[in-house]
Amino acid sequence: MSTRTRSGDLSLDLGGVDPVRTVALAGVALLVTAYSSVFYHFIDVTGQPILFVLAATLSLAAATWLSSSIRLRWAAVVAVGLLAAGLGIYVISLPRQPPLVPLVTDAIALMTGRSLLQVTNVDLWVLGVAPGPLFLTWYLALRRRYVASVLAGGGTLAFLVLTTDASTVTTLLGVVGAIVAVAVGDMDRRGDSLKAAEPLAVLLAVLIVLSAIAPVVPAGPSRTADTWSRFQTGGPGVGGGTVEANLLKADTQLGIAGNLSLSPDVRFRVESDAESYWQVGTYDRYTGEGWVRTGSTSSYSGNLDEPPGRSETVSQTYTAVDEMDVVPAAWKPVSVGDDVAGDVQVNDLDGLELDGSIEEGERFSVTSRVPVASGEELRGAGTDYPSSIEERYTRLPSSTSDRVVERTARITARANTSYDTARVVERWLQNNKGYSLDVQRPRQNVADEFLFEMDAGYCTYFASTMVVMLRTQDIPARLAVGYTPGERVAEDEWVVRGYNAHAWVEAYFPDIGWVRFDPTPAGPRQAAEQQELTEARENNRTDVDVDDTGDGEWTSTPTATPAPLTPRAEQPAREAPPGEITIPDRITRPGGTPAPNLNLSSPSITAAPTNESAGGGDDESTGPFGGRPPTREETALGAIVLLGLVVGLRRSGVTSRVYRAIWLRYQPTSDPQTDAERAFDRLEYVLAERHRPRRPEETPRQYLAAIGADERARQVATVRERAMYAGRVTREEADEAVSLVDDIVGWRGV
Amino acid sequence: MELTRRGYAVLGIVALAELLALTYGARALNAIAAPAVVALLASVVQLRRTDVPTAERDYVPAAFPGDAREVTVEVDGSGVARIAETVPDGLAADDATVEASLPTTFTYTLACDERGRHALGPLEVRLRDLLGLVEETYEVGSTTGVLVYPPVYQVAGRDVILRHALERADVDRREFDTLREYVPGDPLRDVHWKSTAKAQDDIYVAEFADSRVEDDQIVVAATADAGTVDEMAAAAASVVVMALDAGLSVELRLPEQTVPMGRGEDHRQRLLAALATTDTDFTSPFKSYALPDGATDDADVVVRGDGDCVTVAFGDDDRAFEDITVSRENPLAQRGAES
Repeated sequence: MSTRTRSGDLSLDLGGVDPVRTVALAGVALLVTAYSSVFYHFIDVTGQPILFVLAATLSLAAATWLSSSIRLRWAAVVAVGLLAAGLGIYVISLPRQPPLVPLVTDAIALMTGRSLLQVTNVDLWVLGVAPGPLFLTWYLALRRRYVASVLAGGGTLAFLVLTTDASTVTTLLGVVGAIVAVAVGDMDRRGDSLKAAEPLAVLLAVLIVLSAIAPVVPAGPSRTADTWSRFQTGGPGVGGGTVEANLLKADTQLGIAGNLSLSPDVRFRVESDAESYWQVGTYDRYTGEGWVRTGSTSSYSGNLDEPPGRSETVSQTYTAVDEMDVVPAAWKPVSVGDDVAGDVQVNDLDGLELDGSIEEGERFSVTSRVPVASGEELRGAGTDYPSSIEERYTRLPSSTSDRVVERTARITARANTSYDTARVVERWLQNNKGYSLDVQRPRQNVADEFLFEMDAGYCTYFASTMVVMLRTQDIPARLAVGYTPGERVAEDEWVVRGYNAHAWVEAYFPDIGWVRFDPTPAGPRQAAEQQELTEARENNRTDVDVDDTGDGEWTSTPTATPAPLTPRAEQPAREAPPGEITIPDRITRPGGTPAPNLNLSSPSITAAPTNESAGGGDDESTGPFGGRPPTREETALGAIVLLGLVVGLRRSGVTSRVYRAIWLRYQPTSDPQTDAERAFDRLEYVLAERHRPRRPEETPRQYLAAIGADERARQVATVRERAMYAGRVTREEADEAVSLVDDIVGWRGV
Repeated sequence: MELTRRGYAVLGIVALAELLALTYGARALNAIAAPAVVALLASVVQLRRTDVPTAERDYVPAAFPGDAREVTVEVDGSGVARIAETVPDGLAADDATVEASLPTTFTYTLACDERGRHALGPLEVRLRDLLGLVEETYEVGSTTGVLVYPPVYQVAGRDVILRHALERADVDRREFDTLREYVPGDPLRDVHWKSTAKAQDDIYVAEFADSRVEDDQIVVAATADAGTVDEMAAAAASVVVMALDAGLSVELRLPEQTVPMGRGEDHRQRLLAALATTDTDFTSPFKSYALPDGATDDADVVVRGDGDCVTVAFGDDDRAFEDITVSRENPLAQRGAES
């Protein structure tokens, strides 16, 4: 059968390039870009993007090359083979060879909202998985199988949406690409000209705008951290929001939030042999925008490993004052009491996680072994890190700016050991950055922004930045969250409130283990906490106190000065190091010197690192872009909307009407003859609108007479006649004609 | 208006997105579901605003079985349409479906298989939106009749027929008319030896114009039992075409109708049309497919199908049609059915 040939396109055919096919392929390219950008982000967070760029380029090149030579069936075999080989390599690369079942359950976990960033070797995973879909999508598009191509690409993007890794904007961009590919692909198959795509441009504009403002899907249960992605906006509450609850719910992903407030509610009491930070979780992967805990969890089965070096036992008994869904423990927990053992999971970072919750009033015990090392020992620990530790805890996004590396190198130039480096960085941050809960969340790369663009922040900012700085010096470090010791109500008992939630840093030392550092300046934070508590008490709130709080801090008798087990064992770095390195003064750190009214032995403050989803305290909801410049993706969407708008206006005739209205009212001055003729054209147009058009056989004179035009019109006609036929018209006459027409037209709409 | 397969897929995606959002959180699913919903709604609106298409089909000339006819269809309207021709039994077209933006003109090849008057059409136009999510089916364009004649074969015994029918002893051999290929049954004295000698394999016979024949007429009556109507029609068509070619006037009597005496191109078409439609829609149990009483009595040639085979009777010379068929090649093929 012969359909019409694409004659309409011949004029548009630029050097053999078929514009319809080009647009259809551009749609596919947009889809490919959308999901590739997510893949790229994974690689960027964890390693070198060069390899990924190379793999992606090779896949696309192979698809281009093979599209004309191999058949569809073989292409599918190639794509599936690539995928299988990639996944195979990934599985082989895993430290332990997992049986099939966990792999399947892992896949299901991913599909139900577990970020791929939590996958241990996400870079290998991406390198293994990406080439298959890339190849297939592009191959099918080049074979003009646009719908199949969109299915392959869209499926990949949908998977990334399910794993929460694709943001709304990226997804929308991909969806727009898919729609273009399908619709224009149909046109390519039918042999239509590109003009037929005009309604599509309008549709896309409407679709993007509506999708941006209209929530069609329900918010659903707020699991893990499903709206953690930085692009997610909205949610209940603006700014602030609930505070430390967010920390407890941060689970495997921790986002950096904007401004926050503090909650003075009592959470739990703890009886412990020694004062400590009650750690709730740690995070190993820094994404630039937040933190992710990678790896899987397994159920608790008896004792956990002790730290590699010398350590002391610290037994803690926790009493929930409010419902708890975390298991705090002094680092490093080695066993938990039978009362909760059944509900406890152990994650890859040896942290404890709780299935379910602990009811108000319930008690449970945890035994920890706290590493003990002197400053001298830490200095001598060397840098002979276990390779698994080094690999996991020194990774930074490849987009980490050089200035962070340079600044850190300069600050720590005179520190010779890892320990000194850590201490210098800790002290530098304490002394050079202010404490504030009211901050504008940086759009990306928190450490870089905090270091160079911000004057103040709270614990998450301090801790994140310090981890990044340490990692630039190849010191394994990670982010820890939990609670500061809280209010000491007896020699061995502390009451912990919501505002004690805190984030700090742990650095690894060979043969010693993870050692805590806290770069957040303590003074201002404690003042803020105290203010919250005072206000709450003034408001007669009953949930901020228990029986024995509020009567002044418990202080040890002078004879009992250093309690036998204090955090100093864990934090030996509190002793001033010898003077061979310069460490900024400690004025802002009251932790070093006792002061009776402050929680002295708790040398750091807590703020609540939040997870945006739970709190919804996202400062980006203050405008379309939250006052920040739009990203490239948003710009692309905006451009599509603009294009649709222009096409829509043109199609609806608005542009030509606007042009006509302007043409009618503003006449530029040229030579007298042209002016006179144009003046008459305008007159004729306006008369045609008001009376009737001039018939072809009518002369202007006859026409004006027929419609009974006034003297002004006749004069304009006379001037024009002279201009046209006699070729003699003076400037004055022309101007006269123009102003007469101006008069006739007036401002009345036509 | 109904959803296409693609439309159902999009609806399924929306449902799945809603379900996943309900069970495991919204994530970026809104960026999938919202465009899908908007696209579906826009498709419905777009289709609502599209006018009903109209179509026009070219006249299709009559054909013999086995002939192919190019059919051109013009469909007017707007939007995207999947156009499918309704092709009745007896005709066939492999490619009578097209997807195109309206207005469009498309052409397809119609294969004429069976004798009869077939109604081609109407066109089924499935109007779709730009994205192909919803469609509305219209039946547009009237039907076009396509007449397919019975097959015409070359039959022998032209002289015999002439003799029998005209009770003539001889043909005036003086006026030479044309040369044609020899068919069995031609008298040997008619062989044109000069031409035969020139040609390698073929034998040619001379045809003589016979002015006396021109005034003569024959009456052909044809009837058949069920099952041999098609063969009967072919036999009768072959005989009348041969008779017309011989310059006779022919009257044809069929159970439904009688085509009165006549000659010439138009008459041949009338005869073939009558034979094309005979018995094709004979369904009433009260009517029998039989000639009126006495119709065969004064007929010169009687073609009769008896359920097994078809016989052609020239007076008292009764032969099976197969036996006198010289070639299954259509003698009119060169000239065209309509020419």
